Amino acid sequence: MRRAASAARLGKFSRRVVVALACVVACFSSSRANAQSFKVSGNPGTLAIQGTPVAGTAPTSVSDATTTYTLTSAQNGGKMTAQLNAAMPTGLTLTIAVDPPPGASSSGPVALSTTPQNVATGIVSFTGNATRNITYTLTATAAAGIVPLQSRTVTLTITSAP
Amino acid sequence: MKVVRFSSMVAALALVSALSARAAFAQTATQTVTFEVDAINQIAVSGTPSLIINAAVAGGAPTTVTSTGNTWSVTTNQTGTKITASISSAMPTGLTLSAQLGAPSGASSAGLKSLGTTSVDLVTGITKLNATGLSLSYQLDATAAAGVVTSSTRVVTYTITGGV
Repeated sequence: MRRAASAARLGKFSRRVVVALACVVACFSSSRANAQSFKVSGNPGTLAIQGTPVAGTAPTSVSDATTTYTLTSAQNGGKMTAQLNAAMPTGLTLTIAVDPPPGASSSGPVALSTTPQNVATGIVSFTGNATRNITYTLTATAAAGIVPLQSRTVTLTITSAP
Repeated sequence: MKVVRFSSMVAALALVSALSARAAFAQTATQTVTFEVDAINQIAVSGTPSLIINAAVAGGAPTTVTSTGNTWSVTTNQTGTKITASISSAMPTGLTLSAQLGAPSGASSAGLKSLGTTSVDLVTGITKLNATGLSLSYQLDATAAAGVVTSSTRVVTYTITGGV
């Protein structure tokens, strides 16, 4: 009887320990997730293609590197993707290049589409703020013709590795 | 027993919560990118043509001379543009300066056209393209009545226009 009571007490204690550990893990994970923030500084200026440096060549590409993103802490193995809300007009290409977060690799200029594209991969765990440049470049072929002023929404996503 | 079951459920939920928080975590930010492409029409020519008439077949007019190997280039993102040409001042009496441009894909060359102070069409129907190394040739004709003409120059102005 005493042994049985002792085993029951031990079992109850073990379960309480498991509950406590699980709560600690949950809280820890939650706090890490909540501590990570990701934001951009604003919108880039208007990208206007207005000429070509030499007749016979394609229209001159234009770029904007005035905006940044800020990432506050990250976990190992995360990545950044980018995608458009709608396709670009025929003959026009919008590319994005980001300076990568600490320890990560930039995918270089990446042509944006409605499918998420990796723009930085292999994010390494860090704490604190990392502010990095975002560069957009618009290129056009002559066949694109005149394109009236319009806009696209670029969604940048930081995904943590599971 | 109820306490045990409740504790087990709490533990399970906490673990699932912890694992899912790690697996599905993602944050997004958006930017609005505004863009446009304006009308682009650019033309360039290369070459240093020199035309000297210094011979004739007896009984015939002075021998016509031509300058080949010159080129022109064009970029346009409009439809139906054309190239016109004119010279800065009229040619001496009895002399005719003409030019001919090779047409880029899809366009039409007007062939050899004499140049004056009024613009003439040399190529029409140029639509949304960029092309280089297109042929450009000049021709100088003289009548005997033109006499001896001392070295002189004319500026030929090419204009791309008319697109929509």
